Amino acid sequence: MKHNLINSLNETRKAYRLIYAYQRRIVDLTKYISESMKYSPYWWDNEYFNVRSNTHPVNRSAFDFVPFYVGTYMLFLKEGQSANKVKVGEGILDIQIDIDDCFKESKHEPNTLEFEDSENCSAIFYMGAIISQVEEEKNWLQDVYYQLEYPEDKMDEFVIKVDDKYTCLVYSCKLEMLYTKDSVDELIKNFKKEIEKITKNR
Amino acid sequence: MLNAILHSKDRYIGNSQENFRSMYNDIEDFFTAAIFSRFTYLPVSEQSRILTLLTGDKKFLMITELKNREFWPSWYLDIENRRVEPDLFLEYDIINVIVEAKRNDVTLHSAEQLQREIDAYLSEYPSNKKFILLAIGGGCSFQHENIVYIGWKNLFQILYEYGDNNTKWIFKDMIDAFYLHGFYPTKWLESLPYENINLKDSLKTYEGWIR
Repeated sequence: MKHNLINSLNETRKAYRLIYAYQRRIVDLTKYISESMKYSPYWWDNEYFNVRSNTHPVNRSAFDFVPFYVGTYMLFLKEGQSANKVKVGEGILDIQIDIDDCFKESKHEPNTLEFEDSENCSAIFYMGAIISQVEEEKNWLQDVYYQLEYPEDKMDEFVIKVDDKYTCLVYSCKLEMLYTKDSVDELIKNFKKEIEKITKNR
Repeated sequence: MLNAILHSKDRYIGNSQENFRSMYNDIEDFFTAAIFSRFTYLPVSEQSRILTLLTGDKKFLMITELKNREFWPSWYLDIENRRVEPDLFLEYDIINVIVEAKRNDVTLHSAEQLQREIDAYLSEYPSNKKFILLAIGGGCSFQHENIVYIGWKNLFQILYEYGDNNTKWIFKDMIDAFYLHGFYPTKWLESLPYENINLKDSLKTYEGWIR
């Protein structure tokens, strides 16, 4: 038993080093995309875990300490844009990167042993934008982002949903498609084109 | 000075709580000098390559000699004796480079300041020789055919990726200066290392431990 544990601790050590290397790259990727699109950091949180809590670790779920596993969304506003006033043509950018699309949410604590074999799962990159067609005294996070219903994303496709106030654009792909700077630049170029189409057709 | 600070040889100044590291970190002149003084120690062929990558201007590929290097040159702007002081002036054989740097990539340049520097340069060097004003840091809406805006991060990424083995210590000092000022290179997924981890067995072992 002790021998197995020593092996597992060694595996965990390797895993942490790998996780750091992975997280370093997805933070860089997200930062590069937002800066290229001229959007500034606004807010971030996680759909499943309390990653932003200041509660003592012993009173929290260990899943709170792996925010970049699944469910973390990072939000950005256009440079110079106010968070508390919605103006025509302004928008919010949403980037989410999930390393494990086999994650199963649970009422209690998710059990990774019950997930599918990791070899059969994928890492997914997701990007969305909400562009406003109206001017309102509203908070982008509470009154727009959390209230809107996003369209269902389709892998490798741009999906657009328009209503009388906002246009939503979403895109998703397997994360390995964005493994070089060139592939990321290509995504940014195409995403910007789609946003231009949206603002022209207003 | 840079290496003394990196190895924590810096001391507190007088009786204050300030030390050289914190001062060094805050002052753009120190940062600019740390990078560009070493940049000019590189062979001209390396300077040429880096400036071409930075600006996209292939004319830099033809430079063969750095004739003059002057930090904070003081140039007359007009007959009212006003002067301007760009951060650096590099006089190559076929092209001149004026460098105006901000502390970071967020601080924007002033259109008026950049125009004044161009006017003062043309007054100081009235010839047809091509020149570029390299505005490093945040951008500016002022567009001029002789101004190239670049971020410190762009310069850092280029130096990080294209360091030459023969001049590696010069590149190392420049990279260290960037780290000291809070810059880190962008890492892409293609360089993610591979680890062979036996996940199932390790998870099962943990299941049997302290439950």
